[in-house]
Amino acid sequence: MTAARPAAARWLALGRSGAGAVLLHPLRSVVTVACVVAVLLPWLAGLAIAHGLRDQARDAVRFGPDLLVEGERLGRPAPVPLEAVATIRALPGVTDVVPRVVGEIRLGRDDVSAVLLGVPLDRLPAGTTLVRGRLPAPGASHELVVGAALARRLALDVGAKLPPFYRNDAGERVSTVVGVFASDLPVWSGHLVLTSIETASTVFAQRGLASSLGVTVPRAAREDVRRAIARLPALGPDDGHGPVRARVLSREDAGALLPAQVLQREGVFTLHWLLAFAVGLPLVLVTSGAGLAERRRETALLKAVGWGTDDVLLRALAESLLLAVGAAALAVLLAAAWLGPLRAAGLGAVYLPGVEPDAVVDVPWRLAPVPVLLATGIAVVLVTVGSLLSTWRAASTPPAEVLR
Amino acid sequence: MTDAPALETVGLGKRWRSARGDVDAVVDVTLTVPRGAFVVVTGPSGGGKTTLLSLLVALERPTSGRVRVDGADLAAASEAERSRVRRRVGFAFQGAPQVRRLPVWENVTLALVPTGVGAAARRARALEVLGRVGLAALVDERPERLSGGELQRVALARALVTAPPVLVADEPTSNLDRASAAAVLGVLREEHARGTTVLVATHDLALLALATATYAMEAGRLRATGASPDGAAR
Repeated sequence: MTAARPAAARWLALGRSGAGAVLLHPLRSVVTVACVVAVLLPWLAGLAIAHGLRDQARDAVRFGPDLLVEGERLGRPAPVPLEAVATIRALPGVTDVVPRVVGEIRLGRDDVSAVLLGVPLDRLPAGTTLVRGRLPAPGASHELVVGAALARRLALDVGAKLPPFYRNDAGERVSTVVGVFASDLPVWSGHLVLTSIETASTVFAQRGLASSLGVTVPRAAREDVRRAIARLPALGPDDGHGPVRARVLSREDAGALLPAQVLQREGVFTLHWLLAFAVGLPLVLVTSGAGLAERRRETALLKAVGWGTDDVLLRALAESLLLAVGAAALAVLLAAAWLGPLRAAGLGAVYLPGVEPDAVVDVPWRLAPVPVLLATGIAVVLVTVGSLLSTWRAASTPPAEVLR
Repeated sequence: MTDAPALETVGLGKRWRSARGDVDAVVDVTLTVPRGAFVVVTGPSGGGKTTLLSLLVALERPTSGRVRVDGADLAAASEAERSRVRRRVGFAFQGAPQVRRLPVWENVTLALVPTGVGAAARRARALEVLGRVGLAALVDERPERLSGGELQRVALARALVTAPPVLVADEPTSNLDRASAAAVLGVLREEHARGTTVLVATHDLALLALATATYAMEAGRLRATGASPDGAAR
């Protein structure tokens, strides 16, 4: 106990001295923290977006259809005949079947890419909140509801006329914007255009066809229904080009696929960050040597008055830990500010292809504990390696040589 | 406490390597400083006094010969043992180096930090030793605002802060006005009277009056020049 008390007091005194050293060398402290933040901030922000996207993808899958039916003809993707809606709805256990037509369109002078989604009007995606206007009227053709981000990008408002943006054998028509919906939907719906399934079928020249069918079915019957759909000899009447067979994707399949894409992007981002880390390490090594002459003199003085090399290193360790934890905390706060109030300005567009730098979509993000802890650990490694190395070298030099 | 002399050197040598060739700063110095002695080393600048003192307080390693402090052989000592020796020997540096941004009291008590003494106790101790050198009023001042003479006295206060059994001072009265020099002389006299072994390198002849033994150092060689009741230089 008596031996432990002086040891604890020694550690405490050296720790306090190290904490004081942060203020003794303000330039070095500021430069070191800035370097660590520069390395950690983009990585933390990128991973937070990856986690946000993953969460959103999981939500989309969780709240999406239980089974997704797509068409396949001779091994290639094919549209699904609408006759399949009734066929599948008649299968035992099936609660609901919703057809949808999805495809890419290009709008405006800049050929802005957007996704046109056509569904029965009573089956618009949950969470669609109109900020102005109305939904397409039943029976009306070529009425569109656009996302707020897209409306802002193309300067569209309720009543705006869109010249024909498609070509097909049935001729082209002018479309009308009848509503604008809020962009608090998943980020990939920022450039979404909603319309009736009939209009979408006209635009993509797929009358009587759907891109896919969403099937609602209780969990207990899901596997049976899946097998029953897969066994259907054809999803509709033969048009002479061969039968369209069903390809069924379950919620679990989609869940396995979506996060994988996000994880791939997360991996690419981590790779980029590793490159930044490779640059950051020597940078911090150099900056930790900022004011080296003064630090060498200070270390020599401490040694001269009786400090051991271990005392000097403990003091430097306390200083480094404080700087590292401070830098990591600052990086986390800045990342939260960047992703929250600043809406990932500059980063969202880098991370999410198709999102313009000035997009008003809320980029999904979540600062998970693991990256935060990892960032703190990395900051500690970066700063202590640089600091302890230079301190050890200074402490190993005979004090008289430095003080002379 | 052992019966060994406070400081002892045998055939001590230090050679500097420089662009102009090797320089022998200390040559074959054999010196015994008994406990309680007051030894003064004089000599011209560049004669090797500061290097000799650096060797005696374990700030440098000798090129040849041996140094013993309180019987501990520094030549064979590890770095940790040399640090322990430095804690037992108070050394007032010439030039009085300080940590620029630390207040005077923290500079004075640096040696107490690794011993775990709390800040309040260190400040109180600093006030005590600064009072002895006449600088109690500057306890919270920054070193950069002090004159050369004040810094010299701060360095002496720092050497005294651990109440060391051996006090070594390099030019402690240089840069001082007459009154300040007298104050420093008073402190050295007091320390000697308390039984502290004192070794001073100086140009100040006033210090000779306090000495129990005097030596002159020139071109790295040490020779006895005055009474040496217990120690001898050869």
